[in-house]
Order: sequence, then structure tokens, then C-alpha cells
Amino acid sequence: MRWLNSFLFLLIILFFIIFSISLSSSSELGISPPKIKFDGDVNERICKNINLQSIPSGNVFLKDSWSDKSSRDLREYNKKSDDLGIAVSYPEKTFVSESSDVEVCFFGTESGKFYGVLLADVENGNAGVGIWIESELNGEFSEKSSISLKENEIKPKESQSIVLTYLMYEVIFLIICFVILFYLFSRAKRGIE
Amino acid sequence: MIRGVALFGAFIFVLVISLSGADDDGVLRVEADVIGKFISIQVDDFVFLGNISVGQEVRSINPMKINNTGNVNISIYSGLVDQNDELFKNLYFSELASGPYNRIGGFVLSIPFSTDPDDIETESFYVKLNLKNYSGEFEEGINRVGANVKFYALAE
Repeated sequence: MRWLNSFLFLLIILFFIIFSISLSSSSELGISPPKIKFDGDVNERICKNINLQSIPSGNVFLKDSWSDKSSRDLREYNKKSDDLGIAVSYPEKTFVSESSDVEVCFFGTESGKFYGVLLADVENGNAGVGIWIESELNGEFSEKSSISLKENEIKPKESQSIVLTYLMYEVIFLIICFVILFYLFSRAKRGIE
Repeated sequence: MIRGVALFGAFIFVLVISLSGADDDGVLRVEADVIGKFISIQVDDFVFLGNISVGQEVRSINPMKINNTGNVNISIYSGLVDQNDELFKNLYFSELASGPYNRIGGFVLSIPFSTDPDDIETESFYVKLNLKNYSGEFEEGINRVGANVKFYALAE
């Protein structure tokens, strides 16, 4: 009888543990920095990195909205970048395993101040976070230098291509060294024989 | 043999003391990792409001919780994922159970960040579905309905 009481007590504890775990399901999403500035000249591609954090890991979706005036109220950001003659590029969907860096680029053909917000949310969850965007572009519009920034186009980083070039040179150098060593070794072997 | 062990022990002792002790010049170096500003929130994923009929309103018994897990003061904005959802357009939020309630989209919740690194600031709010003025119809019996709500955190 005593063992039955103990068994029932354990069963109740187990039930409460399972019940509390199933109720406390929640998702966590983070973004850094809270605000980014894209200051520069018209027709200049300005890029900045942002950091995303997601628990659990999953796809994070990004989108941007704009406003005519500076405001800290998200409800006033209901314009598209096209309406203001600006373009913002970033990967719309990013898989974030704990933490990931994402490059965000800004491009405008007209001078002025621009106020926007970049919002991130998760696929399965209701947490969303955002970054305030501020941009001040100087200079005048020039047809000759006008280039378009394709939606979501991210150019490979220059530093990456430099590293690859050096790596290639290093491999070639090692192959040459190996051939010379092999030649010397064969010659020495023949000399011994 | 004993002399050898004692000498070896003394050597180890001196080594440990010299490695673990402060620098010879008596300067203590203090280091810390300072975390840059970031926004992070943790939100409850599910709330069941119970039974409701058209012409009634129902309120969550327990409050929903949002944790400010970042290190800046934030404002939380709410919105329906499907903005054309006629039924859940009638969702309201309030910091107090007694109200006043604000319709989804108009509700903004401020959460300061905790000044204690070991603590997380939490804010609670109540959810209400008000179908008093809803004109849609449902089939007989129980119809389980639901909608996804997003909560966006931005720096204040």
C-alpha cells in the first residue's frame, strides 16, 4: 500500500512537470544594433551588418517599411521604399542557428533624410524585433552614375576574394615545392643505387 | 626517496603559487565583457480563450507574458499575420484585467530593460476577444478558430 502511495505521488509530480513544460513554450528573437544609420552620397551603395539571434534555430524573415517623418512609432511606418526612391537590399529569408550576421545595403538616387524600420520575425513563433533606420544622403542626382540596386542582391565581400586568391597562390607554391622535392629525392635515390 | 618527493612537492607548490598569484608589480587586472546594445524578446506562443458565442466577449484568465531579454528599453507593437482576418480583428489587449482594452494594432506595451544583469524584465497583458458587434456566422456545434499574432519589439 505504501509503495502505491509513493508511485501515485511520483506520477503526480511527473504530470505537473510535463504540464508546465507544455505551457511554457515560447520563442526568443534578438537583433543588434537597435538603430542603424546609412549616411553617404546619392548613388552610393552603403552597407552595414546586423546580427540576428533566434532560439530555437529557424528561418528568420526580414522586411522594411518607411515613413516621411522621424518617429519612434511603428504604426507611422507604412510606406514602401519604392515610394521614396530608395532601395534596400538584404536576404528576405535567413536561417539563423543561434546567431547570424546579415548584410543590409542602402541605395538612394535623391538627396535627403529617410526614416525606416527593418523588421525581423520567425517562421514558427510570434516574436518579432526591429531596427530603426536613418539615412542622410548628400549630393545631386546624376544620370551617368545612376545604377540600380537589385532587390536582395548581396555582392560577395572583397576580403573573401582576396583570401581565395592568396589560397590559390599558396596551393600552387606548395605543388611546385613538392615537385622539386620529389625530383631531388629521386635523384638522390638513383645516386645511392 | 622521501627527500625527493618533498623536493618535488615543494617545486609544484611554488609553481602553483607563482601561476595563481597576482603580478609581481602588485597590479590587479580587471576584465569584463561589455555587451553592445541589442533588442531581444521572448513571447508566449499560445493562449486559449475558452468558449464564446457571437454577441459575447471572452478574456484570458491568465495574462500573457513578454520578456525583455535584451539591454534596451523597448516598445512592443502587435499585429495580425493575416490582416484580413475579420474575426480576430476584434482582438483586444490590456495591461490590466479590468482594462482599458486597445484593439490589436493600436496596443503598445513598454518594457524597460533590467538593470540587474541576472534578471529579466517581464510585462504581462490580458487578451480579450469581443464578438459583440461581429456579424459573421458559424456552423452548429463547436468551431475551433485561431489566428497568429506577431509582437514586434523596437527600441524606445
